[in-house]
Amino acid sequence: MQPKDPSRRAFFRSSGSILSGTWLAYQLPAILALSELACKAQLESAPLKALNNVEAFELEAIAAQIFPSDETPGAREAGIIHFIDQAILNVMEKSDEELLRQGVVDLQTSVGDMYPTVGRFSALSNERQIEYLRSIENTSFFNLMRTLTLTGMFVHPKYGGNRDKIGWKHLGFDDKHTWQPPFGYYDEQYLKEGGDAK
Amino acid sequence: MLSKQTGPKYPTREEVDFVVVGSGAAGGIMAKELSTAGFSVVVLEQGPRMDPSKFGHDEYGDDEANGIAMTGEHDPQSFKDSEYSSPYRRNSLFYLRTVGGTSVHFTANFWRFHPIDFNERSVLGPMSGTGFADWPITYDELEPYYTKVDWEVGVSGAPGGNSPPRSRPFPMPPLPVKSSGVLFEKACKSLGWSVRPAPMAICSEPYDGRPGCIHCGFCMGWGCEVSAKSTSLATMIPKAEATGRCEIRALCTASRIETDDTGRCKEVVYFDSEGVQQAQLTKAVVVCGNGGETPRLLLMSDSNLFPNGLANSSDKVGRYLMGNGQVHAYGYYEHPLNEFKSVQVTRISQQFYKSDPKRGFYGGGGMDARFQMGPLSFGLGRGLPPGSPKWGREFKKLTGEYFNHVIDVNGHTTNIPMARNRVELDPQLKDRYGRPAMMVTIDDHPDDLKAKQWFLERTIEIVEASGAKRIWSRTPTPSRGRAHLLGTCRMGNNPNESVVDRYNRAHDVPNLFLADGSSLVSSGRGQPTMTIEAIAFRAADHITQFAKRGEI
Repeated sequence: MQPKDPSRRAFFRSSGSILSGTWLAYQLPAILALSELACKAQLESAPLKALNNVEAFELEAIAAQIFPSDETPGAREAGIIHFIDQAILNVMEKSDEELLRQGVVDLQTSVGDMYPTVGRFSALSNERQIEYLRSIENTSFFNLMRTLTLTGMFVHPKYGGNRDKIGWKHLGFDDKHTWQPPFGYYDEQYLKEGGDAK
Repeated sequence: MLSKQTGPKYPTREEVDFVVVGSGAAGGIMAKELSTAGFSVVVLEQGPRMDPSKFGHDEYGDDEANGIAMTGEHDPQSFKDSEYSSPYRRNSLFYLRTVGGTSVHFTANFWRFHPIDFNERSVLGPMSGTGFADWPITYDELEPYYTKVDWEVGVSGAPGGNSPPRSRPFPMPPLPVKSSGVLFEKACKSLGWSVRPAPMAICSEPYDGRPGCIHCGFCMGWGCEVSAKSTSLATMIPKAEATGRCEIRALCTASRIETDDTGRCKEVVYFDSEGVQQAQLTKAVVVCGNGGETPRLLLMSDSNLFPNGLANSSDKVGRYLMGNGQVHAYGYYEHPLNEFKSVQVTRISQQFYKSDPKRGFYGGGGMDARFQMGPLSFGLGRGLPPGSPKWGREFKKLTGEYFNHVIDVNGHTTNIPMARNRVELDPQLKDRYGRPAMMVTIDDHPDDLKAKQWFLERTIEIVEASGAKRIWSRTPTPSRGRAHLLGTCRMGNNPNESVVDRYNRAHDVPNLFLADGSSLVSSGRGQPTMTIEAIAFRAADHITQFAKRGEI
């Protein structure tokens, strides 16, 4: 187990605003170690270490609404909950971990108040889950869940998350790293029309 | 990831001919030129040395380069958005700390400046309240050194459009055009605007012992593992070491240039890889940090003889900090573009390079078409039009539809030199070695924002003319950060108005030379690295002649 280190923790604090422009990947190295561990956990089918069952069910249900499974696979199939579990263990600031855990507690309290017979977010109908998340979508809890879910969707699969390249296939990104022209539709047409290949 | 240096090892207590501070775009050239000319050279580089063959394509895992570049934890900066406001901790100057410097992860757009960039004040007249000035050299004087960059560093491209004059063809043909380039070219032609293949410091075919580009798509922000990108790490550093006279000292952070009683540099003090303070004796010093680190080092080198910092009798060290404006208009297209493949840019237009007083403001620029997001940053939602959902079924649908169907037409604009925009030493904030942090002020001239807005409108016209199904843009805002670090030790003939002379020698210190982005008098219209490298070649040429004539 690697100790929590400040430069890694910073990733989750700032990833929402930093991943842009020239300094695209300011904090990306921070997540490397996390991802390697998530990968191991996934490959070994290891039980979750940081999250208890209730937390795991509830958080996975939220992740599945953020990036749903429909005609194509989503967050559930990509193994996002392992990614989150390892994030808590290894790189997340204590305050963010508390935010996640308290978020589940709050979720259950308010869902329990609203739907006493159900009691759990993950047991709500799809429509009610969406309706509830809309009501909390500007909270820091939800934003953290969104960052964690989408990061887990689109990381390199060798590190965990993005299982079977689910996220990349969805985008149409192919990690074959040597290409030859034509690259896309318009340059292919251009060549056919007799444009200069250069 | 780290690799070993292969050059000689010089004792710190024996005088070498030159210490070069920095190993990036300028420092690599300086090291190669001076060692090739027969001088002993020690290069101090604060970052580690990475092995290019280990660079990969994984959006975050292989991005150590960016981690080294951008980590503010051990080298913080403070920031002011006006000369009157209080500084707060925030990193606003971005550069790579590694052997090869920022060239290791640059996009490799290698535009020459045009003749107008050197004498624009004479052409347009003065601009009150600014540092708008002519250079002490002309385009014609620098042209042979641009050509040297083309051929010795390795630039691919083709003339055309309204490109600046050249004395020799490009050594390599342009890289193959991408869909973004085709859409951009057709749009420019339909608008009657000039367009040409992008000049890129990337090999389009095997060149000088390096392979041609494999079109992996990971240039901007990544190291090139086949060394098709013409970085200092791939080109100049190995040649410098092959002379047997150049020692690249990685993980060595310069903290002070010491002078003797006569005001001449005698040694460069630095912290080695163990954090132990060392000092390298030398006959002369060439600082090739960048527009941030170079003035910082001079300001840290104050003494009784130089109370305002070394070479700063003019009070110009650190002033006139410039970068370039950048604006973005996006288009969504019906058919797949697959912009994740190959180099970022394949076509550019310099139709509106010159400033036109009829527009009512100062400013010129260039434009290109690109797409510069990896799957992770796109997947986090940054590539979608404003107002798009941020999660859920519709968000998922849009990410799938848009990733391969979007281009980003960029406008790159001038930045007016202002004395208030500067790099100073923060009175309180220190780095891990106790060196004062940079305190950076960025408060653009109002015309800079007008130029950005004007160029945004032109880039939108291009997207419209290209047949996009959907168009959106980002509203330009005042600059709050810089990746191009320019102007802070400007070149000039008047010692009261500039820091270095026309040969990059400090006006105040005969054996101190500064050659990097800090030398630039004007910002150009984006893509300054080609000019930084040409200046480095030219300065190295003159320094060699001075040294051989005993004039240092």
